[in-house]
Amino acid sequence: MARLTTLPAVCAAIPPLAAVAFCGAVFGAALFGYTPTFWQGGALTLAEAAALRDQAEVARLIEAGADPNIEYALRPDVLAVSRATPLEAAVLARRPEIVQLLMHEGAAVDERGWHRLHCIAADIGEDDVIEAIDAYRPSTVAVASCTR
Amino acid sequence: MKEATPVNVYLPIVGLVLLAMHLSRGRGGVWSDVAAVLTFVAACLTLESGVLVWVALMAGRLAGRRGVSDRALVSVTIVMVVYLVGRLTLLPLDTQNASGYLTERLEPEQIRERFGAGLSRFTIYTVFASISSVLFSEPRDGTFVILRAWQHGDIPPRMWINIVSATLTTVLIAVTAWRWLREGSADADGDRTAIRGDFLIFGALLAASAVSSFAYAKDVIMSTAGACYAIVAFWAVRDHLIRTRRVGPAMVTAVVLLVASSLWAVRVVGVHHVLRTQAFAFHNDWAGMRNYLPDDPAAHRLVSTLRADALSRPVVNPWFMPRWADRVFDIDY
Repeated sequence: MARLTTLPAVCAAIPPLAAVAFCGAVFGAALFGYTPTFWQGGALTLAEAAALRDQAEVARLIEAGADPNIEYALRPDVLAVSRATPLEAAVLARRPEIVQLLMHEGAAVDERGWHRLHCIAADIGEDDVIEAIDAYRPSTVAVASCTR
Repeated sequence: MKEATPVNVYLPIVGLVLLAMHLSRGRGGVWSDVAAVLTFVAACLTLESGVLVWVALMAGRLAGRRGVSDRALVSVTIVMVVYLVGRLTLLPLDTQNASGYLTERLEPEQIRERFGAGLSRFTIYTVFASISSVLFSEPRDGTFVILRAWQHGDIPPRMWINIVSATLTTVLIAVTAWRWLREGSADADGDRTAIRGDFLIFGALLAASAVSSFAYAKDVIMSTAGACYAIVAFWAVRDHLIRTRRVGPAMVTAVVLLVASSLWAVRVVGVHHVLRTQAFAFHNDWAGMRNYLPDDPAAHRLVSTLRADALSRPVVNPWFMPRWADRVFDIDY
């Protein structure tokens, strides 16, 4: 029978055993209802989901009855503002695909609201966000001008 | 644009190829032959990559394994020819996908524009890139993400972890393969014959998987070769461990194994992070599926039900995850 060289075998075995022990501890803790902090999630408001590129959560919340046209609170680290509508959050977070999704899911903008969003997008200077907002320009608005 | 395949159809192929390898190693008999044919049929009805079952069976036979009889191999070959003729004539070929090229990601139109249709520099690149993705964990889906990160001035630790762990393992495998080639079959005992068989099957699956991804490079196409890579890595480490050696080489082997093993352990621990990141991406894909619902009423109902089911399942937004996890654990999919 071949002779096992002990040192290389121990060196090869320790890291995977440590990994298995770590994963086992995490799963074991989960079985008893404890979730480590690095594994915890949390509920998002519609504006937070819009800012955090969470298309599925945006769709789920709206389909569950959330209003896409009102202001929601935002956690401090999400955006520089503490409250915003989902559309404002999507524009501030430079998410044109979320703007389209919100419009598709029932968000609406009047002349004043559209002008405000257009100017936020222009201020940010992201072309595809400006395009996404401009695609929903109310017919009553002829030219948009933003003054600082 | 990403190809929308939210259902994992590659994992069954990996399982079926491993089953074929097991059958070819067995004692043989009628039931093994029947099982081999059924395994091939099940694999081909799952995905085109099911042809890899035939590759595994034939490579096993070439390696001297007789678990599956020659009669069964002929049967599987006939079924494969019928399948390939049917597949190539009745259904369209999927050769229109985005793929990586060096540090870029190219859309199908860009690929046609730059390299033309048919055999080109691009197809040769994707074949070798696919082989390299198994042996060195780079490129990823055809893109050298480590070079791109270097161009941007920041290579996250996960890229070093991937490339160093895979390269060390590949070196161990290469050294073992070279030793066996040099030693020939004169001293081959039962174990070594079995090990050589696994190496041959791995080589065949690696080459066949790489050739089958000629049109576009996608890591998941190489997953069967990846599973066999783990098997030959096991044999290589075992070979290094059981060989009698002097203190110096034993120390070098110990350090190499410690580093490789530690880095692979980090990759294993990071699997939960990969799964969470992927879950978030696919969750969003399902949300976007609303714009691509099929016209056929039955298909429309099915996709709508699957979409509603996917959206109802809670998925953690990556914003809640610690920032260091994205740098240490793999996310380049």
